[in-house]
Amino acid sequence: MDILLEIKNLSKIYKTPKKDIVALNDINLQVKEKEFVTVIGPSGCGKSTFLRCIAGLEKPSKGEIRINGTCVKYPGRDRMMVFQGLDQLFPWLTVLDNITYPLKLAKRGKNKAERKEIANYFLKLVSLEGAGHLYPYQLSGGMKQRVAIARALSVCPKVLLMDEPFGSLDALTRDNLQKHLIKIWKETGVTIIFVTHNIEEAVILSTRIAVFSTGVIKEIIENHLIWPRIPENPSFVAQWEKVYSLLQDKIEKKEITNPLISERKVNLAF
Amino acid sequence: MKKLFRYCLFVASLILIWECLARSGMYPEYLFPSTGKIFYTFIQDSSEILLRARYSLTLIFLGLGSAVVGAVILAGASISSKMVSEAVTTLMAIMHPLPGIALFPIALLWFGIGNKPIVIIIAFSALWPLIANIYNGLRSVPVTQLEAGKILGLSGSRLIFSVMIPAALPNIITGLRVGWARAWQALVAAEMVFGASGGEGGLGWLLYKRRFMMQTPGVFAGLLIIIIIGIIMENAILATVENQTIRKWKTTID
Ligand SMILES: Nc1ncnc2c1ncn2[C@@H]1O[C@H](COP(=O)(O)OP(=O)(O)OP(=O)(O)O)[C@@H](O)[C@H]1O
Ligand SMILES: [Mg+2]
Repeated sequence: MDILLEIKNLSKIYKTPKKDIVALNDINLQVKEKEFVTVIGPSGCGKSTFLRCIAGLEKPSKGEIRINGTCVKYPGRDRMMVFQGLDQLFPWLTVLDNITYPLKLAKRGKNKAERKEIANYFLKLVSLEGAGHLYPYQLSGGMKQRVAIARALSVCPKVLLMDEPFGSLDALTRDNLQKHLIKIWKETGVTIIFVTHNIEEAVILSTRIAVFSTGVIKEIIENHLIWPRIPENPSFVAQWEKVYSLLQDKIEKKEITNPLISERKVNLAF
Repeated sequence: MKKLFRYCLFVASLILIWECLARSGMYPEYLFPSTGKIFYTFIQDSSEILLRARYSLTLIFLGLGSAVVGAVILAGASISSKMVSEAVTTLMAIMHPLPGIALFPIALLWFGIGNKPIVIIIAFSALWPLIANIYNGLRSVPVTQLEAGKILGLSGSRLIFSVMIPAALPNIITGLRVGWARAWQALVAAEMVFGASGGEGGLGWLLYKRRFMMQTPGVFAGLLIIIIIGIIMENAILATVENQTIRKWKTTID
C-alpha cells in the first residue's frame, strides 16, 4: 500500500522565557493508507505536540510533514482533528449544522438538502441519527465526541488525528466508543493516528503502536491481533505486556512513580 | 407570566410611592407633580414627545451603529495583531474615562452646528465600552473551538465572524447594553447643555425647553418616554436577542 503520511526529522522546540523545551526530537514515521496508528507514552512526552504539528496547529522547528508527497504547513481539511475536550463543537449550531457547516466550507454537496443528507449519513455512522436537531449542551460527553468524530469524517479527510478523544469519558462509554471507532474505521477506510495513554486502548484499536518517550519514538510495535480483540486473550495480554514493559523501562530509569502502574493493577483486576 | 406579574406589581408600587409623596404636601406641587398630572401632560404632549423621541432615536442609531461597526473592526484587528492591540489598549486607557460630553465643545468647533457633532459624541461615548467588551469576548473564546475552526479551514476574518463572534456573543451583548446607555447619556447631556442646534432637537432638547419654561410635569413626561424606550430596548429587543441566541445555546449561565 502507498505511503500516505511521511514525517521526516520532525523536531519541535518550544521557546519559553526561562529555557527551551524540546518537545519532539527528530521524529521519523511513515504511515500507510488505511493504517490505524496509536501513539502512547508518558505524560509530557510530546504526543499532543506531535499531532498538533501534523494538524498544522504548531509549526515544526525542524523537519517536514508530507501528505501524498506534498509538504504541509497549515491546517487543512485533508487532516481532521478530534480533541480531548468536550467543548470542540460549536455551541451555537445544532448537531446537524455542526456537520453541514464544514461540508459547506469543503464545498461538499450541491445544496442545503444534499449537505443535510450527507450529514445524516455520518450521524448514522456514529449511531446518532435523530439527534440532529439538538444543541451541543443537550448531549452527553460520549455523544459530543461522537458528533465530533462525525464532523471530522464528513469532510472526507485523508488522516483523522485523535488526541485522547475518549480521555474524559467513563470506562463503559469509552468501551462503547472504541467499538464504534473500529467499525467506522473499517467502514470508511480512513487513516487514523490516535493518541492515548491507556495501553489497553492502544492495543484494542491499532494496527501499529508507536511508543513515545520524551520527544522520541522509542519503538514501533506491529499490532495484528485478530478482531474482535478481547483483552483476556493470551495474545492480547502478551501485546499489552510488551507495551507496558517499554513504558515501564522509562519509569524505572527516571525513578518516578507513574499513574500507569496503578492503572495496570486496575486492568489486571478486570 | 408570573415574572410579568411581578414586574407590573413592582412598577405599580413605585407609582404608588410617588403618588403618596406627591400628595403628602411635603414638596411644592410645581416641583413634585402628581402621577396623574405627569400622565396627563404625557398624553397631551404626546405628539411632540413622539416626534422628539423619533429624532433622538435616529441620532442614537446612527451613532451607536457606527460605534458597533468601528468596535468590531478595532477589536477584530486587536485580536489579530499584537501591535494594534497595544495601540487600542493604550488609546482605550486614555479615552474611556473621558466623558463624551467633555469633547462636545471640540466637536462643535470641528464639525459645526447640526446633528453631526451629536452623532459623533454618541459614537465616541459608545465606542470604548463596546471595544472593551467585544475584545474581551474575542479573547476568551475557548481554544478548542478556535482550533476546531482552524482545522476546518477557517482563518482571518472568516474565523472571526464564523467562530469568534458567535462565541463572544455574551460579551458583545453586554457591550451593546453599556453602549446603548452611554449613547443616551451623551445625547441627552449634549442637548441639555448646549441646546438644540437649529430649531430641531431630540428628547434632551425637550427636557431643556420644559425646564426653561418651568413646566415640571413636562420634564417628567420627557423622562418617562426615555424610561419607556429603555424598557422596550431591554425587555423586547435585547431579551429577544438573548433568548434566540445565548440562552438557546446555553452559553450563558442564567
Ligand atoms: N505551548 C507550549 N509552550 C511551551 N511548552 C509546551 C507547550 N505545549 C507543550 N509544551 C511542553 O512540551 C512537552 C510536550 O507536551 P505535550 O502536550 O505534547 O505532551 P503529551 O505527551 O501530550 O502529554 P499528555 O499525555 O499529558 O497530554 C511538555 O514538556 C510540555 O510542557
Ligand atoms: Mg496531550
